[in-house]
Amino acid sequence: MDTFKKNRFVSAVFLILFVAVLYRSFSHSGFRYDAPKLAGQSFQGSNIVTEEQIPGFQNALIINLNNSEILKDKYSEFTLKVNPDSILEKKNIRRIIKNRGPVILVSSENSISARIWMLLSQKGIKNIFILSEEKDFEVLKNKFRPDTLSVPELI
Amino acid sequence: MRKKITVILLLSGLVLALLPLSANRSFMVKPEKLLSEVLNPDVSLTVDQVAKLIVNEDSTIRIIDLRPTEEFNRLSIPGSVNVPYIYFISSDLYTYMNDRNITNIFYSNKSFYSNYAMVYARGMGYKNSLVMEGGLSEWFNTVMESKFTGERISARENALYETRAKAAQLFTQINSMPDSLKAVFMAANKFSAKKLDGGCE
Amino acid sequence: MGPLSSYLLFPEWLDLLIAFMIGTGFGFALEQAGFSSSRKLAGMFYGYDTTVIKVFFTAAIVALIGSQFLNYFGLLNLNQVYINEFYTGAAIIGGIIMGAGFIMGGFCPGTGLCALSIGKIDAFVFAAGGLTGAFLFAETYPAIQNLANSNYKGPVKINESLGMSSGLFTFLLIVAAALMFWIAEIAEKRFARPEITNEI
Repeated sequence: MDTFKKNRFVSAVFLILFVAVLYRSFSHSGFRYDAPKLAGQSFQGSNIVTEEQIPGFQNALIINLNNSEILKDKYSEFTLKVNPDSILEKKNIRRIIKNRGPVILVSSENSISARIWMLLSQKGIKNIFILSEEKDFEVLKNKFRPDTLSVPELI
Repeated sequence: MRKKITVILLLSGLVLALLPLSANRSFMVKPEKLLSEVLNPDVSLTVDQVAKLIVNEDSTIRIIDLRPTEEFNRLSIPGSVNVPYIYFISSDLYTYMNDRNITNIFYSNKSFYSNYAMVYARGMGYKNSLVMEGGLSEWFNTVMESKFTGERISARENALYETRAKAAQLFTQINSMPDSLKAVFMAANKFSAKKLDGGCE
Repeated sequence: MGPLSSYLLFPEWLDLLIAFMIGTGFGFALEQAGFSSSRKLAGMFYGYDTTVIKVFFTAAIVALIGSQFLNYFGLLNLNQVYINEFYTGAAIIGGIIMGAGFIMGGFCPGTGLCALSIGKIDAFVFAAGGLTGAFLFAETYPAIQNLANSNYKGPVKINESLGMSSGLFTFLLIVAAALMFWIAEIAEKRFARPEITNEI
């Protein structure tokens, strides 16, 4: 104790730094460090699930954003209806973090789920998935018919 | 005093040694602010809006295709540049988004990659990021397969269908080019990595 | 958020003004540390005065620690801080020439300008020599271009080439610096020249 009192300046600087680092590392109020790593699950669609996969999950929590009818009230016992703009409220975040199993975002618009997924992942919240009606989430099914007779205008 | 300074430096170094430091960073914007930004309808553009920008040759936009390079080379929206999603997330966004006078519009085949990228870019502080909703799928459904089926057409509808027709024509022309010509055309649109300023050169 | 000039898009005149202010501060710090004395500077190589290495290395370490923490707290984007490009051959040969010039002249380019600003004659001659060297380099560049551009490695960071995190590297560097300063203290006692330090 005497050593700390004699070296007040050193102790104070170190303590402030240490507390700041701990807060930055573990706080859920902001975003976590290393954004690309936190976004990694989105690369190959490993964060996308289909309805058929839901029964296989243990302790799943379904977050129904914007009152989606996709699941038609199935799994209502572990569904939480949350407005997208209140997803960051403390009670919702606490519920998501405390859930032991996967958290599945459901929305009538994939874009909303995708945006919320990225936001929550960057806060360091793991085990979040997006429900999609099709597993081939970024596959183009349309066919293009080239017209070899058309010539682009010269610029 | 020297010993105290040495101790402070050593302790700081020890804290740094224990941190998971890398060259990467975190989102700069506060979560609540980012949430309200990305839920604002203004961050989304319909394919009709993007088609109009392309037809008008708007120079204040840059359309970024987030699909893999092979898919981009086969088919792409006229004037777009290719940054595969994986590279976009892994790189320093300054390379692609450095010009704050240009609005970047992301698209992919559907909506996932483009929306991830838009949130990611905005999180990193690049507010000039929008998304084309529905991606290339929606482009095909709305622009390429556009057909007026009514009896009378209003002036507004006429303008809309005309824009779609022009955009579809451009899309067909660019994507029908032989590979060699297309490669030359695409090369003109590529990003040149912006080097950091500094040093004695 | 830093670097400020990137994020806030400073106009060129503001960039130059900031550079001027930083340069003024740097020159002031060098002068008050006594680095306009060629004897003090050369003392690092003879062992009787190791102030230079202690001051410069401490400054580098403080900047390193500060920038790492600022990066971690999201206040500075280290990816946007310029890193000099590394040419192995040019770095070795240039380092040898610079080291020899430093010992012989008693100045490095920065401290030479610092001494020049207070009117030291040796600093004037040193600066003239430096400018002559730069002129000769420019004139003979076509002949030495290959050597100057050989073994290009790009903007490498030591921690990346050693495969360790920047934080760990920082800590090891601090430990190495502390050891080096301790050795420097021993050298000062061993090679002391009391008449030199009294004059400064």
